[in-house]
Order: sequence, then structure tokens, then C-alpha cells
Amino acid sequence: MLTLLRQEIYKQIHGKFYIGWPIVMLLASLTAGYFLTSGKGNVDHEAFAFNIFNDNIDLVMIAMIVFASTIMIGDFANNTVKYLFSRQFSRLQIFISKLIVTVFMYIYLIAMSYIFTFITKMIFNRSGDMGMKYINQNTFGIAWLLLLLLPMVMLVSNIVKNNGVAIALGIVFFFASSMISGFSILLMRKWEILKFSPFNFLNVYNQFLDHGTKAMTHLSLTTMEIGTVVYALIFTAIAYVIYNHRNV
Amino acid sequence: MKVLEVNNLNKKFGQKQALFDVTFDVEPGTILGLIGPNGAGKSTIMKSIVGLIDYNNGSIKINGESLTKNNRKGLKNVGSMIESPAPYLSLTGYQNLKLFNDGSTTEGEIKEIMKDTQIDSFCNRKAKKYSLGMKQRLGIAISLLNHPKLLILDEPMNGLDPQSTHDLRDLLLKLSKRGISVLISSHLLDELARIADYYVVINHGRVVKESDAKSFLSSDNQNIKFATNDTEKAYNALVQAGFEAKINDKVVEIKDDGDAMNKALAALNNAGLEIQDVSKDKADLEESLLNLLTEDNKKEETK
Repeated sequence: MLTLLRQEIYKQIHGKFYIGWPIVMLLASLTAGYFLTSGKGNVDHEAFAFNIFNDNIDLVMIAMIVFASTIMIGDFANNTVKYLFSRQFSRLQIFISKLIVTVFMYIYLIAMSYIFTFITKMIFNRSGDMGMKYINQNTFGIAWLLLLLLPMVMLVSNIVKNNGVAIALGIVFFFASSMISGFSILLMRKWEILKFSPFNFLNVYNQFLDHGTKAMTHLSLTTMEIGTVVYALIFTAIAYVIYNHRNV
Repeated sequence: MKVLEVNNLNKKFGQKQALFDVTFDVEPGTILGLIGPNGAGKSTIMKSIVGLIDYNNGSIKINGESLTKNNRKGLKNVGSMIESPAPYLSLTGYQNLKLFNDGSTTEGEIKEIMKDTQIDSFCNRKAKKYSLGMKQRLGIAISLLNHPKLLILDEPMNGLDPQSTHDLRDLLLKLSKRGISVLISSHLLDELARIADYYVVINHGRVVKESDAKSFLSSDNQNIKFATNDTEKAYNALVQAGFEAKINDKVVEIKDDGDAMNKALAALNNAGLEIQDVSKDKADLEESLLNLLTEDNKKEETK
């Protein structure tokens, strides 16, 4: 397993993603910082850092969707999977190593988000508090959403065998989650059971930040969290079964 | 202990049976040529061995270790290159070697592999800039990492220029002398004939023949040619002596079944013919294979 992890990390370090995406995040932070402070109105000092961080988090979400899909089936697309599968490692070990590296990448990008938010605040808005409480809350909220979204993306990637489609669907899920959950809520009025559909659980992020969302989801935050974990496990297990049975 | 044992391997793709009870083994330090026409099942066998595809029935053992979906320890000492090489294109050749090294190959050994496979001159360039032959050599270099006891090479000579093909041949012979076994498929039969110790011929997913190289190229695939002062009379004499003879450009040909030469000479002498020349075909793997496949295809048709 350590060999597999080392190899996955080696690939990432020699790829452009881990350096290229943070550069995009840094530029986005600095641009947002400039525009937030260049207006004539008063700057809300506490909201400044939160807004910058939020912009970064959106980019982290997109990055993670791209990353999860690519790490899962990029080897199939490039045919390098032949080397990966023809060795002494089981496909379960390979699959788990990819999951672990995905978590590493999330932690890395979140750390970058904190650093870039801090840098941007230091450059454009030194006064006032960082508002760490809200920032940390956002970090955990997004982690819950990713816990559900990334297994979905991995599952779709494995089904369609095309990371382009999986990335597109993942990003659509992310940006359209409020629309999808809106539909889901409408349908729930007719069929209450739909509150347990995975689409309703896409609201876990909103409910984590605003407990009032319960009125829409018809589920408590704890149930939302448990459901998110259960769906994550189900989607991951199905994705693994497909991965395990793929012929090369 | 045998390095590789394949027993009654069966594989179906949907309703189509691709392999039928394929059985063969590979001895330590030998080179086994897996030969047959396109679509015969050679790559399917190789892919099944290294776990790229699931097989339906049968068993595969590497160094006595049974290979299953979840027990793949046997593959620890197997290097392979199946179909075409597929390095990480965004990495250099050297980085690819570092990537696939599981830690057991030292830096010195990596350099030796690069020298053996002659990739050292371009190993610092990104693999996306490589020609097919360069990728092929890199693929072979990757398969040599981690001290393999068995190499599985599917068409490794594809895309190589004559010099590189010659060098690869020498490398494989060198590895074989070091005790590394090689399972190799190639359409370049002349090249294969120079290195293989054994052949397994696959046709329509079945093992048609398994033999050592000498026997495979032996008598029943060779012709003896007689030039005499009377071709017609010589033909009749040989047919009367029980040979399946044919006239080809004023020469009478018979199949060499090992004892044919003496019997045929006796028959021609008894017929009072003057023998002007006797020659034997050079052993030819391609012709032997074609003869074998023709016979096998005839059998298939009559089934």
C-alpha cells in the first residue's frame, strides 16, 4: 500500500495540477481582494476574509471534482492502467490508495485556501478579525458536501468511463445542487420518502451552515450527516465493484 | 519449480469463447514463444496471466503461487509489457522508471537497465516526445524493474528498427542466461526463431502444438529435394516407395519424416536413376507455423 501511495503522490508531484490549481486560486484571491477593497463603500472587515475564503472554496470544489474523476479513470484513458493492474497489488489496494490521495489533495487545497486568504487579507485588508469561526465552519460544511459529491463523481466516472463527462456532471451537481434540491423539495411535498434521496442530501452543506434548512430537507442535521456517510459508502462501494471488474 | 503454469485456462467474451483449456508452462531461464495468427488468443492469455482481464475457468501459478483476483503475490516478480507500451507521457523516461520502481531496484540497477535497453540517451526527455520505438524500449525497461523472474512481452519488437531488434534479442538471451524466463509473442518469426527455446502455437483459442524449438522445426515441416536425370521417373519411384511426392521446377520434393532420406535414396537407386543433387530445406518457423495452422484450420472446418 505504501508503494502505491508513494507512486500516486509521485505522479501528482510531477504533474501540473498540484501547482497549477493553487496558482489559479491565489490569482482569484488577489483579484477578489482588490475588487473588494477598491470600491468606495465601507469594507466589512470580518466578511472580507470569509468572502475570499468562499471564493477559494468554490475553486477547491471544482478542483476536487476534476481530481477525483481524473485519478479514478485517468489511467484507463492513458492506458497506463496496464502497468498498474499487472502488478502484485489488488485492485482494492489500488482503489484505496487513490481515495487516500484524494483526501490528501483536499487537505492540501484547503490548506492553500487558508494561506491565500491570509495573504490576501494581509495585502488588502489588515484591519479587523479573520473571522476564523465562519471560515472553519465553511471548511467542515464543504467537507460534508464533498463526502457525498466525490463518490458520486467517482461512480459516474467508472460508469461512463470518461472523465470529461464525469467532471461535467460533477460540476453541474455542484452548481445546480440548489436547483436540484429545489426540485427535490417540490417532489418531497408529494412523496415524503424522497427526503431520503441522495439529491436531498446535497443540502448537507447548507444545513451545516444554516440549521434553518431543516424546514426544506425535512431531516435533522444528524440524519443528514449519517445519510451523507451512508450514501458515500454506497457510492464508493459500487464504484469499487465496477473498478474491480473492468477488463483492460 | 516451474516459473509459470497455466492450466485449463478458459475465457469467454460474452457468448464468444476466446480460450479453450489452454495449458502450458514455462521453465526457469527459458524463452517460450507464444505464436499464432491475429485474434488467436495470445494477448488474451497474457492479459489473463497478469490480471488485466478475468478468466472464467482454469488456474495460473507463478513460482508455485496461485494467482487469484485477490492473491496477486506471484506477480511481484513478473515484468510485463502487454500490447503497446503506455508510459506516463507527462513524465520523462527516467521518471517513469522511478515511478514503477517499488523500491527494490537500486539507482545503479536503474542505470544498468537504461543502458541495457538503450534509453539512457533520451531518458530525460518527456515520454510524449518519444517515437514508437523509444516508447517500446522504455516499456521493456519498465518491465525489467523490480528483479523479475518472468518477463511477459507481447510483441516487444513492434516499432523497433533492425539494430534495436537485434539488441533486444541479445538482451533477452542475456536475461535468459541469468535465469530469467521469458514468455514472448511476436509476429517477427525469424527473430523469435533465433531466441525461443520452446513454442506454444495458439489457433482459435486452443493450444495447437507445444514443443521445443528443435522438434518444432524438424522433419515433418521440411522438404528433401532430389534432382535426377529423369524427373518423371523419380517421381513415380518415390510415390511407389510410399512418399507423398511433388514435382517442383524439375525437382522432386518429399516431406522429411526423419528417415526419409535413406529410404528415398534407396528407391531412386533401385529405379536406376542418376541423382544429380540432393538438398534439404532450411528450417523455417514461418513455414512450419503456416503448415500447422493450415492443417488445424482444415480440421476446424471438417468439425
